[in-house]
Amino acid sequence: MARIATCWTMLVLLLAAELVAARAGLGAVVCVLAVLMVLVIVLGFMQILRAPPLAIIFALGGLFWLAILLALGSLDSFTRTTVPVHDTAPYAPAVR
Amino acid sequence: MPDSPVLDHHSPYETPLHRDESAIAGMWLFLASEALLFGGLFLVCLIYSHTRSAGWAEGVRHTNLVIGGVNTMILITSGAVYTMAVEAGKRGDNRRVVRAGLGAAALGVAFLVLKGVEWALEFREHLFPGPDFALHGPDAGAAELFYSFYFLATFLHGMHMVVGIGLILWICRKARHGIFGPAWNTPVDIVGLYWSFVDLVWMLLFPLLYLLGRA
Repeated sequence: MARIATCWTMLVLLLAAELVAARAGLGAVVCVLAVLMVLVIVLGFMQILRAPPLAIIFALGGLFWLAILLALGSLDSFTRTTVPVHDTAPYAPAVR
Repeated sequence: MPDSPVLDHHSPYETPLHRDESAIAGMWLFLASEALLFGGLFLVCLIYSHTRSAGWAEGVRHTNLVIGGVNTMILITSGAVYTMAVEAGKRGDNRRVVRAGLGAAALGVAFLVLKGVEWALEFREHLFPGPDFALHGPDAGAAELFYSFYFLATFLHGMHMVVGIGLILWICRKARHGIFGPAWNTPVDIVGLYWSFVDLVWMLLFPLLYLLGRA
């Protein structure tokens, strides 16, 4: 019961901090606080550390593939260089 | 042929512990697949919130922060209340499982009702993507893209809530017959994992839909 109350209080405080950080325009802080909230749920409510070893492997596997999905999926958008093209003549067939 | 009656009783598992651990590991495997399902949505958000940041932020500024914040509080509380049911299940306190389960389910219903109110307001303000979309200007296209993400993400999350509430009510029905005890309470535990996951997804969706880009 004390564990649940502690986790609930932590989540409420993190939510309040998130709202303050968002108001101040601190996007990176909001992201960190969101990750902390996820950690509180996974460790406090879901009790991953007390789960069977196979469950921990599955959870880490899910996290790994999620990282692969996000990294490879966003790679093109974040690394593509847009080269502006100037003064291009409209296509016209060569006149012999 | 099984070697002993004990083996036969728990077949195909060797022991009750093996059976229960397999069930919990199976749920975590399912949740890992769910993380990849929602991961696709997060990828969309990651890309377009950077490549079309102005219009995306314009969309974020039009979401209802009060309803979003209250709903986040409701889900945090619902997750905590259902975790009490999990603890009661471990002690074999079926009456408390029912009470905590019904409390968590009621909070889940409250979340869905508020989300319905929020959707109704957004439909009235013509924020649903389409020819009547309310926002105009150079960034309207990206704002429309944001609202496509918003409606899809909240719908998908809402469907998971509906399934979770159904599972909690199923647990309550079983607990009312007093079937959970210290020796066997795995279903209470497994539904708790699912409900916490739904909670967890919202903790990530909330900043993406309501906070990042609002200032």
